[in-house]
Amino acid sequence: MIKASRRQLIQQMGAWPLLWPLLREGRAEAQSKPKRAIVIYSPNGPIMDLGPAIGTETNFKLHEWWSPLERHRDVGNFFVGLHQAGVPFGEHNEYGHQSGGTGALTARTTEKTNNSTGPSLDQFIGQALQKANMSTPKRSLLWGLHNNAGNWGPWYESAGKPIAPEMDPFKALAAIAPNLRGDAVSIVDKKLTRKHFVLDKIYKDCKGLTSGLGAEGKALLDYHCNSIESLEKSVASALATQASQTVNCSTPAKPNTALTAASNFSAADNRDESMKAFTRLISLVFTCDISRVVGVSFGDTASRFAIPASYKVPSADKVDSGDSGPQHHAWTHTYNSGADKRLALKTFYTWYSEQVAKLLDELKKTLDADGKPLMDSTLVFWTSELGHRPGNNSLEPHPNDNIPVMLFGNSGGAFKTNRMFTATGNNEQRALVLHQMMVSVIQHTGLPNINEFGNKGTGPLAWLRG
Amino acid sequence: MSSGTKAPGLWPGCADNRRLIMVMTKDRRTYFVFLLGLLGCTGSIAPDSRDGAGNVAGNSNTAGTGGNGTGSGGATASICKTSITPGPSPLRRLTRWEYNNTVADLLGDVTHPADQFVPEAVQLGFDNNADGATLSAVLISQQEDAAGRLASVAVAKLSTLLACDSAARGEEVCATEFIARFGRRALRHTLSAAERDRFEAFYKQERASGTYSETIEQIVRAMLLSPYFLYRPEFGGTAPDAKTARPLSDHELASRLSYLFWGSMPDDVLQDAADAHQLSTPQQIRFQAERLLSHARGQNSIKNFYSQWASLSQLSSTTRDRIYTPQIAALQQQETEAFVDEIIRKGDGRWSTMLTAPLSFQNDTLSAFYGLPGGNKALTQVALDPRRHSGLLTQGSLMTLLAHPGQTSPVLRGKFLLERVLCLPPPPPPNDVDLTVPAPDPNVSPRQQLEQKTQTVSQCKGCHAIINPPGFAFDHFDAMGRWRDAEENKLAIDASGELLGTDVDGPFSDHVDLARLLAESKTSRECVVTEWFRYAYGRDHGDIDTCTVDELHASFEASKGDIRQLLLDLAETEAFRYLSALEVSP
Repeated sequence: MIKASRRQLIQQMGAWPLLWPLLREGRAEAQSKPKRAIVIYSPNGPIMDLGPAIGTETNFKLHEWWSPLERHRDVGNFFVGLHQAGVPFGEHNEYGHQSGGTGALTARTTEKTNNSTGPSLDQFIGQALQKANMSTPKRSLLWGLHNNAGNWGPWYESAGKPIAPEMDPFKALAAIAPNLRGDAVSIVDKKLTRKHFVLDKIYKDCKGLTSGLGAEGKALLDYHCNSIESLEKSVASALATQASQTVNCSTPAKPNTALTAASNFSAADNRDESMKAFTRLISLVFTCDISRVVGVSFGDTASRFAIPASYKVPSADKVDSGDSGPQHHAWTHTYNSGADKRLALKTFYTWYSEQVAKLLDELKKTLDADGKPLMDSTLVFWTSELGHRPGNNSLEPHPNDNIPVMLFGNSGGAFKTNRMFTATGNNEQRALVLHQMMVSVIQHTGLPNINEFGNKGTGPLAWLRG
Repeated sequence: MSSGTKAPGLWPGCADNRRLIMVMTKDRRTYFVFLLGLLGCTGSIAPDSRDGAGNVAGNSNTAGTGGNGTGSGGATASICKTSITPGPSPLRRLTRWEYNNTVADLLGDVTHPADQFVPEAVQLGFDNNADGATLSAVLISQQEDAAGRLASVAVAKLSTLLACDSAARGEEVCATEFIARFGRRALRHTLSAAERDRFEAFYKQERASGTYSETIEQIVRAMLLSPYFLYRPEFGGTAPDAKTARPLSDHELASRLSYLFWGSMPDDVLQDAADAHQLSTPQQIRFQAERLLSHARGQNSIKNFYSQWASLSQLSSTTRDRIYTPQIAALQQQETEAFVDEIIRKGDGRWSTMLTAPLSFQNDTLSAFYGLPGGNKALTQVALDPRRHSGLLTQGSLMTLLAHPGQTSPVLRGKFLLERVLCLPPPPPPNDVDLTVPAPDPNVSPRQQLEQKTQTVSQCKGCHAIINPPGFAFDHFDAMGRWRDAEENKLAIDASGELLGTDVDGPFSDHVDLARLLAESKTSRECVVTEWFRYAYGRDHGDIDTCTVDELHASFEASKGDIRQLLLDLAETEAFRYLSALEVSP
């Protein structure tokens, strides 16, 4: 451990930009300031008659569903009328979740297949950075709140290789802990973390075992499982206390890693806490330069994503997919109950927007090693697999059209922000914008020579700079 | 508690006189009559009702079948032939002893980690009764700690634990192989694809933040905390008649067999048999049961059973004369364990032999302690004087345990005999009597002292007329199990008496004569069945077990009380092979 001497060194030097080489173990070479990207995916689409904004390029208004993002207009670009990037080349509008999920982040035509033919944007960037000798301890990180564990994407390591996000913030933290150094190393007791993981696994296995037993046996095993859960909670609480000790990876940036000790991060009622924890972890990995790319998945394609009951999402009737209840996917398949559907989807989208807004809050308030906000060096790209079809039935589900897309961040001043982009033309023309935007995100991370992503070489979206 | 009419009290009415008592042995529905009134003790003797569920005495309207040993009425026999009635199958948790055995077989760990666990509550005389497997947060925490320690030690010798060259074959390949192989042993069944997937996903998650060794350690730790490891959950297989019962799966049967005979996990042979569905018929089960019982580990459960039956573990904390050292206590325990194993597994297996065989196992130290000739450095079988020694009941261990410091206890000895040999436990003494053990009187024998006390107090005399005589029979053994010709105060010993309230009532001249009587007792043989039923199935028997118990009694009688045969029979009953459909919750 060299934390004391390093801290003294930092205090004496006082010149933060010069410290980049010291901020990570094993990286002796000086590098330019890191550029980061956050790729956010929310499932199922909004299914409504409006995009996230309405108006003109510079005089626009955010739709109320996205109202929490109003406070981040200054760093935002809001896109309406975009078509799924991978799809337009085949005009496959109606394949919904499948083609939307496999293509949403890969920009590849996949039609009805369940596997993409290439990596998702986050993975592509991580791999490209590594190839360009700009790798970080973690090439990329993928975290999420819900996963159906299906194979419709949207996250792919490479062709035919879907990957699932880590949904437990404690595990996410443990995975990066070996890459923290100095004071940060001590934030989590590794033994305790591992104990937590085992208890977490056993609790989940345990609960699935009780059915089929006699009543007394079930009661006994229930007690056992609940005791495991209690133990897990107490360990989680201890871990949270430890993690709340300030990480001192690159003072003055002091990311708050205080994770709330939610016992089960996969439970819908804990989603606020999960996202809060992941938000803090993102600022940690950026300030400590553990990774420059993070994927955030609210749910995978066709996710039966639900949010805490306190938000009072109405319950959907059983739909053709078999889903029902207060979850996003069921509501996208509901053809009737227009008012309820609007209320449900509004609640979901307001919630997603609030979470993204909080992430942007964190990026704005967390200072990088050069004393500037992380937001300055970070692009936040948010998309979904589905959109809506204006002019037709506004409640019609599943078109890969009019996808709500937002891009936050000015890439160190290179991009203009606080604008609205309205795509026009045929499907291919409107998809081209999305395709180009992804290339812009790639180039922003320090890969200016990459002009091709997905199934088409498009170059960047010039509008962002002009 | 499984069944039975709740008795209003055991041996009720001990203060009354001259009442004709009907006693029903609840497991056989057999009645016998005896006259306690003549002896000053009135009331009924209910067969073992330590659980409070004995049958009410005096129900003379209830028909019995007499003493043919089968005990089944026509209607019952008919039911037995037409339906499967396995009785309850409570969820069994590994006892501390079973846990220790299992981790020894699984990981080679012989540190007995479960000795630190919260003890099980002993029910019906055994610690493996499902009702005694109470849970507490403390226990779960202890199990978690133990899993962590065991896993840590196990991976310290990774090459032993995991015979797969990860450098050559790749870590993931080895891990996948480990999950399937180790999981099969630890969780005692072949893991389903879904189970393997979950552990493999767990491996990948853990490997992302830990070393290969740390990740394997996490898997071991998780498996040692799995309910499949800590418990023996049973879900049954396909049901030919789901309305009454479902057969256990092959792996569930394998576990039942191995824990019955070895008190530990199934070995590879048994698991292979389960995989090959070769535990489907009674013949296949018997084949494996005989193999397990004949194996060296077959002594495990026999020793454990009789250790609990006689409370041998208490020897180590027994206070006696200075010469009664921890070494002697340990040797006495080993002596008895070797004796029962010799009779059951190597001898004729008969209960009558257990009660009468004049042999034991001693080394020079123990022989010298008993005042007997030595010549054996190691524990060796020795022939004893048949006029002095008579089987299990005259073992030094039992005689020591059934005594007070400095003096014998005919009451404890008589009570034990009634309770654990005949399943006729006396009731506890009334609350308002003086239970103080009187100091030895140099002028009268302890027998006279006790008789004077118990016969002059009206609340005592009735029951003690039955309890005391078999206890007096062992007066030639002092409080440390050594033979003596006279009492400590030099007065002569009178070991004679009369056995009352049993199916072999009558006078006896001493403990050898008493053992001869007991060896002929059908009640005693039925008690053996009852005790082994409780141990083997982790529960008491009730009305629903009538067919099973009748079958066991009949077989035990036919085998002339062969305990080895009884153990094999226990593994063949419907109660052992089936899971009651009624037990399964939707």
